[in-house]
Amino acid sequence: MARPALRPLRICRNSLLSYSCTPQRSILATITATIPQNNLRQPAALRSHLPTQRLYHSQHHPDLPPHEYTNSQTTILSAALKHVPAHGFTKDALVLGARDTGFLDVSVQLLPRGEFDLILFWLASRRGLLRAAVEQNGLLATSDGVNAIPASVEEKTKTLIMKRLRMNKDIRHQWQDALALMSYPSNIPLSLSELHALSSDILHLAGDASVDASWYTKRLSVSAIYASAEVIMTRDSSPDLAATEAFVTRRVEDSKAIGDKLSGAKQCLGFMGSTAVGLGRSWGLKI
Amino acid sequence: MKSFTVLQKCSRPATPLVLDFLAPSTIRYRQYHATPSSAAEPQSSPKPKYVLNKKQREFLESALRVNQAGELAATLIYTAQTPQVVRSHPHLRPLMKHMYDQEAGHLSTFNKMIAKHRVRPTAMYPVWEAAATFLGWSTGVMGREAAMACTEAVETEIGSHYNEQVREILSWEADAQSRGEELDDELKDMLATFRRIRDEELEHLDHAVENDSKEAQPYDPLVNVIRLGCRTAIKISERV
Repeated sequence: MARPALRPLRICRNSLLSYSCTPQRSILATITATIPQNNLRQPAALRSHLPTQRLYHSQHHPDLPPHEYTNSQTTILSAALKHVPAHGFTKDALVLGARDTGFLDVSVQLLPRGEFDLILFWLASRRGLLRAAVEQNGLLATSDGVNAIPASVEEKTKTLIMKRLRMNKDIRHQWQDALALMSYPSNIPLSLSELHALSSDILHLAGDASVDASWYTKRLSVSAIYASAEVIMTRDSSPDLAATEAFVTRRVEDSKAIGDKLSGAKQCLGFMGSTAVGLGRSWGLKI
Repeated sequence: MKSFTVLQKCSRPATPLVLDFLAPSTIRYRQYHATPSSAAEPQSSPKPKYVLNKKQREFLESALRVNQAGELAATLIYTAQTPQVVRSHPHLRPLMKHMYDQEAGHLSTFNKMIAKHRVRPTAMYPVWEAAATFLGWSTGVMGREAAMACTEAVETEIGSHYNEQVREILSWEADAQSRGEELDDELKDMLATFRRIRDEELEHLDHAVENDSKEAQPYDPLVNVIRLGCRTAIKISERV
């Protein structure tokens, strides 16, 4: 618990905010920050943030929104996102966002996970934007040419991954801090479920319709590609993320090559097995 | 349809303008996915649609997952049984083919449903593949009666499982009627599909009994073990 207790000090150190650091406020912040993350303190919506993605989807029942924050929480968070490029995923950005929307500084306590809520909100809202880009702006729509070949699932996956990575462009320099915070042991489950939700959305939007064990392997490989590309992106200084794009292209090709090899090997074993069984049967064995 | 979306819009808490992009799914999503069947809705059904709650969505999700796994297992069981049964009893070839074809049709129905509704397939997929092939092969080796007893046990469990699902959806329908609403077309189709598939599975059960499944040796332990295995597999597939 050492780190959360330091948060108020960090806020005090920040010259921009120092005038707001009255003793009461930092005491309150210290108290709330040092109380262990108790489930009872969190609103129900936050406790059950997890598997909204796994439910039955239907055109007759609207999709659930990509996150479960309440209105005032979303207001603060979306205003805070504007301050992320300058202040990073910190309490400062949250406080500034709360102020912009006319909330008191202390209303940052509406977000029990603090900065991590800001990160989760960033991820979830960008995921929503990606969905909207495909469904409303026709990101993946093919050109009007008569002979246009529809893009394969891999190509669409690559396009979507790059689209999502480009959304991180403005906050690229802050993203390593966010990744560090996301890899805190207590934050890992939520980070992973958000990553799964993203890869699941990407594959769905790319038109993947696998209904067997490859459902799992495909999601795993897209998650791995996306997560590693994110790390590359934080150090990518090439114009328009060209280096990251090249990286993603290579990884997608790799995963396709591995998948092809595996399915080829499986097919070969299947043929050999059925040949052996057929041979045995033709010899009159009761198998 | 239009009034329904408007109603839904009203019932949602007003969101700030900035967040419009966060809920892209309510209105335009519908148009994007609109199929000819849903385009015909406004004339045919003025009644408001029944909105599924979270628990019901969860039920449908696990039901579709179990059904897909079950049909997968059924096709593999028949695939593994057919050569041995047909070798000693060639007159059963049309029957085995008929049952297999029906199961393959069911499997493709559920595969489509799973992809359409974005339901996660069971994580035990490879395990069920191996288990079903082994079950089919071993009962096939034990002879025609054992193979038929296996069919009888499996179809009994599956049939009663479909029956429970039909009963659940019917209870939603009754609930919807009491509120003056009705189920959407997809659910109605699904209900009809479940009923048809249940009847076909029970038909397989009758075929199995006609073909001396009761004379399998040892009948009781064999059938009980297979039924217990089916129930366990259903319970596991509902969750993972």
